[in-house]
Amino acid sequence: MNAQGRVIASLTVVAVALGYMLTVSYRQNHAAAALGVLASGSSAVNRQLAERLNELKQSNQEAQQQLASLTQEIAQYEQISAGSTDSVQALQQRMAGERILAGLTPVHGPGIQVTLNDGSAGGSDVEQILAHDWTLRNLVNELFTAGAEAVAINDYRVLATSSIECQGPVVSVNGHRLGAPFTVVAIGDPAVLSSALEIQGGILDAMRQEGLQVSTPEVENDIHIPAYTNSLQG
Amino acid sequence: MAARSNRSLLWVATATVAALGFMVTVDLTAEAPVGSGNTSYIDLRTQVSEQAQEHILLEQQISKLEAQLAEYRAASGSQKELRQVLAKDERQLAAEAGLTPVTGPGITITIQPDAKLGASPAQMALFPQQADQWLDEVVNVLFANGATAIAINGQRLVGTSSIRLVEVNGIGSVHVNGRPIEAPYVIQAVGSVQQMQTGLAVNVLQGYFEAMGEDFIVRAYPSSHGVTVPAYAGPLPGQYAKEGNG
Repeated sequence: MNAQGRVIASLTVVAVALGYMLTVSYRQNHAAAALGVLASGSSAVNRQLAERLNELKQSNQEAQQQLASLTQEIAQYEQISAGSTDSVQALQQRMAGERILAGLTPVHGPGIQVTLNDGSAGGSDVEQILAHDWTLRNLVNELFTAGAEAVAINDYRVLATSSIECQGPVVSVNGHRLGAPFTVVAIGDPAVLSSALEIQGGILDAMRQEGLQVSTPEVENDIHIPAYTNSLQG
Repeated sequence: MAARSNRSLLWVATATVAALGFMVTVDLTAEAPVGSGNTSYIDLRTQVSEQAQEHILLEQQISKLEAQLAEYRAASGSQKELRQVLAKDERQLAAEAGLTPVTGPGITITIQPDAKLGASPAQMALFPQQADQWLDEVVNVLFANGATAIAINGQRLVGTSSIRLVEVNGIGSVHVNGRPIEAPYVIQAVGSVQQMQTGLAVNVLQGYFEAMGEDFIVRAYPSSHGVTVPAYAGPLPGQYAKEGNG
């Protein structure tokens, strides 16, 4: 074989390889497109989903506002119904307390905010550095022990009667699947709530020692927490 | 002629190698975004599904409040009728908040130390140190599996309840709703008997408790008067949390 023949043979091999790669690449892209998983997060499918998500979030916010407004209207009727007696205020306070206890309406007030995130996997045991269901349960339990009147995780209201369970890579809170980072907010006496969490050797210290990323509790003057919803009962 | 042919071959070879290089580059750089795109897509799908579910639940709550409001409006001509609606409203709220006893089919779980289980002293020492977390685990499994009302040693669990081990002078005791309780711990739960039993079995809770030298005795009461969970009698929230959106 002369030099030209060798070059042609080499080019043929390269062209076959190129053809093979083009086919594989086309197939992969085609399969990805079929799954709605285009190469970038800004694909048409993702854009549509993001738009739908924004619409739903907006709509749910409006629904929460509607709940608050209906509760206010009902409270006015409660006042009228009870008549102008001394017990009116006590009755209204009790009924409002019951609604808050049952998580029936959105609430607001002073409190704290803390964020938990999985640790970074530098070593062998990845399980160890994940925020698990029990991590969140312990934190919520600690907040209620310290007198929290309302708690939410990633904008979902949590009651002590909620279930918090691991479901694969996410945590299910009242049947809502939530992923890290977890932003936990609580309404109550901010000083008491903060010190209950930040006490030396306390719950946040223990979480940090386990390798979780935990923020310092931030005091907020007016935290808003939505009404409780439970998709397990829905 | 030969020189021209060689030049053509050189151009073709250069173009082919350049195309190959381009493809390899595209392939390598495309790998990472595909992975993150995938996560982003799944995340978005999950969030959309969650928000859609949330929307249905909120609509249900709105319908319920609108029905309640309609009753008040209908009764607004008569003080007597308004008081009747108020009384009904009060009863319903108290029940939803856990301020009334609940009776129904359910189960009881008795947790107590049992030397006959053969646990070592070290294993038996474990439960008293973690009793609050284990009780919380049981309660969590029950609420996730059809329990509608639960009490531990007579303390009804409500929206702001906590189960906490409190140590005083080196002696730890479990506090529920801020009140101390002692072993044996008896959990009463009203709800779907079968669902709760299945949940307990799936989570192998009996095995864990017995390994720590604790009995975990589950009794089923399927009749409509099977189990009575007492009412919550503690303080109500409202000192810091106020209704509405501010």
